[in-house]
Amino acid sequence: MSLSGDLLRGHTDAIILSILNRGDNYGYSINSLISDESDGEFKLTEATLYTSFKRLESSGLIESYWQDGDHGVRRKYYSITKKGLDYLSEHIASYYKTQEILKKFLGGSE
Amino acid sequence: MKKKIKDYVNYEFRNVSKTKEVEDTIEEVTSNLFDMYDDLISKGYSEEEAYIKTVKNLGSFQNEFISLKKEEKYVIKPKWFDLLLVLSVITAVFALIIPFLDLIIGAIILLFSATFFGLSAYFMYESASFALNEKKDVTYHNYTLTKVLKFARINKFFWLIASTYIVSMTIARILVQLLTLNALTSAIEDPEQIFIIFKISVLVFIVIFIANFILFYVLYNKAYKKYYELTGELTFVRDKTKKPYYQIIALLVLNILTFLLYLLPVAVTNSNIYPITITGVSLIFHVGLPYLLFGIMILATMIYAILRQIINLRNKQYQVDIPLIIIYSVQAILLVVVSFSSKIVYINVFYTLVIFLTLASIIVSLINKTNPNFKKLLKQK
Repeated sequence: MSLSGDLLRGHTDAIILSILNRGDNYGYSINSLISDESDGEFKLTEATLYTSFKRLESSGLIESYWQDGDHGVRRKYYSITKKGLDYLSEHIASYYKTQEILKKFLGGSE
Repeated sequence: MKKKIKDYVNYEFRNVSKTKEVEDTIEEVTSNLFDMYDDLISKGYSEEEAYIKTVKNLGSFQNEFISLKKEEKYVIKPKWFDLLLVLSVITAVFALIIPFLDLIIGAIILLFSATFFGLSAYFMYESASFALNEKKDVTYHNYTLTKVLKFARINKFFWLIASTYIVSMTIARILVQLLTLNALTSAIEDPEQIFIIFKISVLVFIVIFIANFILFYVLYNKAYKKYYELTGELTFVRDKTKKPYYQIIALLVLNILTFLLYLLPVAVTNSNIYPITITGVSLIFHVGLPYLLFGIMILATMIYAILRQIINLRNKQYQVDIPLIIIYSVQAILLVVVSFSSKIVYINVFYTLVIFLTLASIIVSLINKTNPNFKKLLKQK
C-alpha cells in the first residue's frame, strides 16, 4: 500500500534509530528487520538506507564502525548515540501527540 | 554471482570519483547486498532470481554523489548582437582562406570580421552593464562578457594567421617591385632571383608573425584582465588538475614529421657537383665544414625535442616548458641560416618546409602559454 509506505517514509530515520536502540546493527540486518516487521510493506533500497545513515551520522545521532563479515567483506555497524536516544524519545513523544490529533479527525465514530 | 553483484555496484558508481567516502560506501553497500543475496539463496531462490532481486534493491545513488557534478546551465535567448559574434567567427575563417587566393578581398573580409566582432562586443558590453546596473542581474552580466571573451579567443587565432599573411605578402610584394625596378626588367626569370624573393617573403612572414603574435598576446591579456576586473571570474585560466596530453602528442607528431622530412631524400641531381641523393642531412655533408656543424646541430635539436616529448609524456608532465621553446627557436634559426646562405635551389625549398614545421612546433607550444597567468592577476590586485 503506497499510502502507508509514504507515511512510513517520513519516519525512516526514527525507525532506524528505534532498531539501533535494541542494539548495534548493520545495513542489511536493519533493512530486513524493517521489512519483516512491516510484513513486507516497507522496504528500503540501499540508496535510501545509505542516505538515511549518512544524514543520521552527520547530525551525530548514530556512530559507525567496521567489523569483519562472513564473506571477506567488512560490515559497517551502526550504534545509537546519546544524542540519538534523545532524538528518538523526542520523536516518539511528538508522534504520540500527532497520533492524538489525527485520531480526533480520522479516528472515526466511537 | 558475488562478483556480478560487485560489478553492478561499481557500475552504479561509474561516474563518481573514487574518494575515501565513496570507496567506503561501495564496500558497505556491497556487503549489504551480499547478505541479502545469501539470505535469498537460503530462502530457496535460484541464483539468477536472487541476483536480480538483490541488485534491484540497490536503488539509485545518482542524486547522492553525481548531482554534485551537474551544474545548471544558464541559457539566454540570443539577441541580434550574439549573431554578429558568430558571424565574426565565420568571416574570420574565410579571412584565413581567401588571402591565399586574393590578397585584397582577403584583407576586406578580415576587416569585416573585426568590425562584426567590435560591434557585437560593444553592444554586448553595453547590454551587460545595463543588466548589472539596472536589473542587478550578475548572471547575465557575466554570461555575456564570458561569451565575448570566448569568441575573442577563437577569433584571435584566425586573425593572427590571416593578418600576418596579408601584411607580410603586401610587404614582400612591395619589395619585389623595388627589386624589379632595380633590375630594370619587367619579369623575373632567373630562378636564383625567384628564390631570393621567396626567401625575403619567408623572412618577412616570420618577422611579422612574431610582431603580430606579441601584439595579439598583449591585447588578449588586456581584454582578459578587464574581464576579470568586471566579472571576478577565472573562466579561462587553465585548470592545472586537468592536463591535456594531446598537445604533447601533436608536438611529438610535428617533431617526428620534421625529423623525417629532414632525412627524406628530396631529389636526385645529376649535376657534377652533387651526384647523389639529396637529403637535408647528406647535402650538408657535401657543402663544407661549417655546414656540417650546423647540420649536426640541427639534427641534435630535432632529436632532443623528440626525446624530451617522449620523456614528458612518460612522466605525465604535459606542460610545454621554456627550454623546449628555446630549442625550437635555435633549430629555426639554424635552419634559416643554412637556407639563406645556400645557393642550391633544392635546399631552399626543402629547408623552408622544415622551417615551417619548426615554426608550427613553436606555435603549438606557445598556444599553451597564451593563457594569462592567474597568479599574476591576483598579485596585481
